[in-house]
Amino acid sequence: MNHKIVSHKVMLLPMLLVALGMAGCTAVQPWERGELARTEMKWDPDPMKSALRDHIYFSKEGSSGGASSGGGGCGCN
Amino acid sequence: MKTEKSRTLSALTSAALAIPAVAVSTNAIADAPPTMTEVGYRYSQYQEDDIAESNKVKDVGSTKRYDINIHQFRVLTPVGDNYSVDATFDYETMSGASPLGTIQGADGDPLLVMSGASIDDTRMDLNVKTTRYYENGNASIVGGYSTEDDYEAFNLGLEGEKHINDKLTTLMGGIGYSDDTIEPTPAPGRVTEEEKYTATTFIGIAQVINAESVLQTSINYAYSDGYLSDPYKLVDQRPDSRSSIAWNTRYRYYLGSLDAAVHADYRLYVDDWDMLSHTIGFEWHQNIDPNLRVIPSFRYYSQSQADFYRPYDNASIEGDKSSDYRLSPFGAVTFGLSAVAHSYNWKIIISAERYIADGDLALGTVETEHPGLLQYTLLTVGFDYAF
Repeated sequence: MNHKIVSHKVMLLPMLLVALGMAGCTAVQPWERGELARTEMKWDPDPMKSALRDHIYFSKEGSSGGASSGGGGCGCN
Repeated sequence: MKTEKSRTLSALTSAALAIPAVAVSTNAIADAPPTMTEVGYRYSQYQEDDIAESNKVKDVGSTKRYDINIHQFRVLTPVGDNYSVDATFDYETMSGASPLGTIQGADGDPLLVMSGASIDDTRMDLNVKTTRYYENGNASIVGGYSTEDDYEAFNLGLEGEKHINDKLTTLMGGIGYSDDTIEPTPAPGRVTEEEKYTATTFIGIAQVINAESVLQTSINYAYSDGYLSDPYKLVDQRPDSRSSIAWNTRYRYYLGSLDAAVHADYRLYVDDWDMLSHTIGFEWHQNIDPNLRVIPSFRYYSQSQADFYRPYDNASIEGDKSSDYRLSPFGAVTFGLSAVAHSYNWKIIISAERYIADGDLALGTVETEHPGLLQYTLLTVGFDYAF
C-alpha cells in the first residue's frame, strides 16, 4: 500500500478544518452558550458506550489512542 | 450526565460552561462537580461471525469465533464542594475459538489454523477517576486494574484542563502509565510469564467556534516496551518496543432548525511498526421530542500493515514476523443506531451496531486479504439514573 500520497492529501483536510475553525471564532457571550451545554453537544455524551467501543477497536484493530491518559490493558485475542 | 433541570437553570442564569467537556456547573465563575450522583448500567452482547469453512484448514479447530457478554457499571458522584469520583467496573465473560496461525493452502490462498472449541475467559476491569475542580479548570488522578485468567494490568494517569479566554478556549493534557503481565496457559515452547510497560502523554486544545459549534484537537503519544508478541500464535515474534502518535480532531455542531447535533471525529495514527491508519466517525443526534433522541452513526477505518506482517506463517524466517489479522492491511465500516429515552434524571438506552472488515474497504490496494478479518454485531441496553 502506498501511503505517502494518500496520507498527505488526507492530512490536509483535518488541518484545514482545525485552522478554519480556530480562525473563524466569535466571542460567544455566556448567555449565548445554552445550545453548547446540551447533552447531545458533549464531546462524549455516553462515556460507557465510548469506553466499550474504544476497548473493542483497540482489541480488534491495529491502532490505539485517544485524548485520554490511557486505560486498562487486556490480553485480547 | 447533565440533567434537564440544571441545564435549563444554567441557560437562564447564563452559567453554562462554554466547553461541554466536563460536568456543567450552576455557577458562572467556577468549575464544579456534578450536582447529583449518577449511576449507570449497560449490558452488551458482542458476537463475531463464524469463520467460513473455506477460510480455514479443513478438520482443524472450530469455525466459531468470539461471543462476549459485557456488564458495565458506573457511578459518578460529587464529593464535598470541589471533588468528584467517577468509577467504572466492567465484567465480561467470553468464549470462542481463535486463529492460531495462517498457512498457505493448496491453491495458494491463506488458510486459518483455528483453535479448538472454546477458550472460556472472564475479564474484570475497575477504573477510578478523582477530579478536583478549580475556578478555571480541573485536575484528575486516574487509576485502574484489570484482570483476565491469563492477564493482569495496572494503570495510573494524571489529566488536567484549563479554561482561558472567557472559557471559550480549553487547554488539556495528561500522562499515563500501564504495567501489563501475561501468564499464558501452559504449552510446550510457550513463554510462561512476560511483562509490558506503556507510557502515554497527550496535549490538546478545544475552542468554541460560535454559539452552535465547538472544535477540539489533540495529540497522543504512546510508547510500549517489553513483550508485545502474541503467545497463543504458532509463529509470532514482534519487536520489543512500539512508539505511536495519534492525532484526534472532534467537531460538534448544533443544527437548531432540525434540533439535531452533528458529531464528526477524525483520527490519524502512525507508529514505528510502519502502520498508518485513518478513522472517521459520524453521529447524528436527532431529537424526536423532549424525551426521545435517535442516533444513527457511521465509522470508517483503514489501516496499513505492520512492516513485519506476513500473510503466511514461516517459522524458518529470521527476525520479527506475525500473521495476526490485526497487523494486516484492511478497511472496516461500522453502522450503528441508538435510541435514548430520557427525562430529567433518568435515561434508557438501546443500541445496535454492525462491523464489517474487508480488504476491499482499505484506502490502498490489498493484494492478499487476511482470511481472519472480522465481522461482528454488538447489541446494548442500559440505563442512567441520577439522584
